[in-house]
Amino acid sequence: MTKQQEFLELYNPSHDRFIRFCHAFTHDEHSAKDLVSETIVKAYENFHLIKKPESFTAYLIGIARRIYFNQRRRQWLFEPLTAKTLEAPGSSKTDLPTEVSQLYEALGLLPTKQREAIILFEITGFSLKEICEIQKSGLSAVKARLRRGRERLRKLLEDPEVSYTKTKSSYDKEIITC
Amino acid sequence: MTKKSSPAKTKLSNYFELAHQTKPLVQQSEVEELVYEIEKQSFRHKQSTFRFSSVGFRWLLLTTCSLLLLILYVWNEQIFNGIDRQAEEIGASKENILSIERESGYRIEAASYQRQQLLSELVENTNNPDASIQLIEKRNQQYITDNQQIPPLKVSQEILKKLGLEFKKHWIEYKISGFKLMIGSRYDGLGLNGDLYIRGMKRNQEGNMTLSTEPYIMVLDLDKNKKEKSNKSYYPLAITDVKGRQKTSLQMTKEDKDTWAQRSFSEVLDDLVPIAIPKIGKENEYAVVFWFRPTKEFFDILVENPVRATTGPNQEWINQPEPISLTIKQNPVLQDLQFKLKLQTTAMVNLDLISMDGNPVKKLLTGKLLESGTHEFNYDISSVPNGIYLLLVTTDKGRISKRIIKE
Repeated sequence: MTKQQEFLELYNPSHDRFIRFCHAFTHDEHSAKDLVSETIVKAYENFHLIKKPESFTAYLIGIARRIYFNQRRRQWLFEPLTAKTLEAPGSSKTDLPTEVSQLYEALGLLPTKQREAIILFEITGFSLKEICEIQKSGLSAVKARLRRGRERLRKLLEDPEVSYTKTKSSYDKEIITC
Repeated sequence: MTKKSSPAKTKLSNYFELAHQTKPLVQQSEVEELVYEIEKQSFRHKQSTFRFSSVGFRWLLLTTCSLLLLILYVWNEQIFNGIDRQAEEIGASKENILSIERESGYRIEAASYQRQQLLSELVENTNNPDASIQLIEKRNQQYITDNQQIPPLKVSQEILKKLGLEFKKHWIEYKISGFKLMIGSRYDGLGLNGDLYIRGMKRNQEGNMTLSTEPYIMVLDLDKNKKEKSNKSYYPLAITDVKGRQKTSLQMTKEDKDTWAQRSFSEVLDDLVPIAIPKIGKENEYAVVFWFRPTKEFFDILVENPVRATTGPNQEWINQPEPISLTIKQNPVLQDLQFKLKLQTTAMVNLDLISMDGNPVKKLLTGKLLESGTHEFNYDISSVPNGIYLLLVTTDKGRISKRIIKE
């Protein structure tokens, strides 16, 4: 069996969860596609290093997280403060249903850890234990993130106007908490 | 029991449910294409670029280095072949060549570390301007077969007389194995340039010795001497000038020659004791150096308070398999004097450290019965002043000594 076949055999069962995670995490179609491509390239290059094939989804998501955070950090450090950087992510149009689109936009307003925990648990379907490993946090911390995230999401989804009131300070805070 | 959920919670769950049902943004087939594309690109990359970490590069690097080393080795062999051959002739290892600069040029010789130290000390002590010593590595210098150079021991005339030298008006006589050596300052015949010459005469029949430039030392057949009914004790002898450069060695008749163990002077040098012989009428100027083997009789004469062996002398060991062998582990000695003593048979052993002028410096072991085999010793001699000493091992089977340097 060639390397490609081995890779795809492991990848195929994880496909839906992985794509949904990227999409929800970036809440932007183009960014999500870029993230998927970069993650696949990295994962394929380092495929020979994988130790637990059964945790392939977590392996992919770990790579995606690192790429995403590195990009955000680079952007925050080196790009000048422009209207583009202040623009809320997820502004590009997609073919998603309105509710899903609203959900992703609302998720984008959550602090990163909370957003990540919600996506991993509710959308990607990881267990609490797996989320603890991915986020390298304790169980209580993950549970707290989920609870606070859900509360905030409820508020945001009940009042859609809130989603467009993101300020510069909240954006910086999000970066720092990464 | 059913849990009643709030309307907001229900609504949020619906959002998540919808997100689950949404078609993935990227199709599986697209990912498969991407993977094939990556593989294709990486294959091209491997073909088109040369990676430093690749196996091919490593092989190339290894081959290049090997070739370079080979070229260097061949070049080295060609350039220094002559010097190496000379070094082999004198039994020197290539890394251990000593160059002594003289007016006439350079002399290259084999040199142990001990020898280098001795030579350095000699230069410091004698302020000899024409003997600057340096350790060189395979330089293309003139090779001169010459003698070794070691600081000679200057002893009183009384001891020299005891050693068998007779001080005449114009020369010094030394009788050895049927020959009479005459060392003088003005004498026709076999005179060497300068104020030194040596003449040998056969007993009862005047004859000249042949002077040889070969650096050999004579080791006399003592049994043969006894047959000649000589009352004198004879000692193996090599003669050098006062700076240690060999002036001559003696070649006897052909019959006698076979009985001498002719060994390279440099081979036995470390076991010999150089005694400076003064010029006639000048106590502080020296004509030649006699190199004696450190036999028991020799030491008994040399040492003012001789350390006596438990039984009578027995010199037969000289021409027989040696009953005692002494190996010094590290020389020069900094603090701990470590050496191995190998005994063929069980023997009563005395160990003494004596100075070069013959006085006992330290008694290491007195009258201990040691069984046959190898014995290792370790003594702290840090209290002993720096200098050159002889480690003397005296047993009822014989006596052996080694020169050591204390630093």
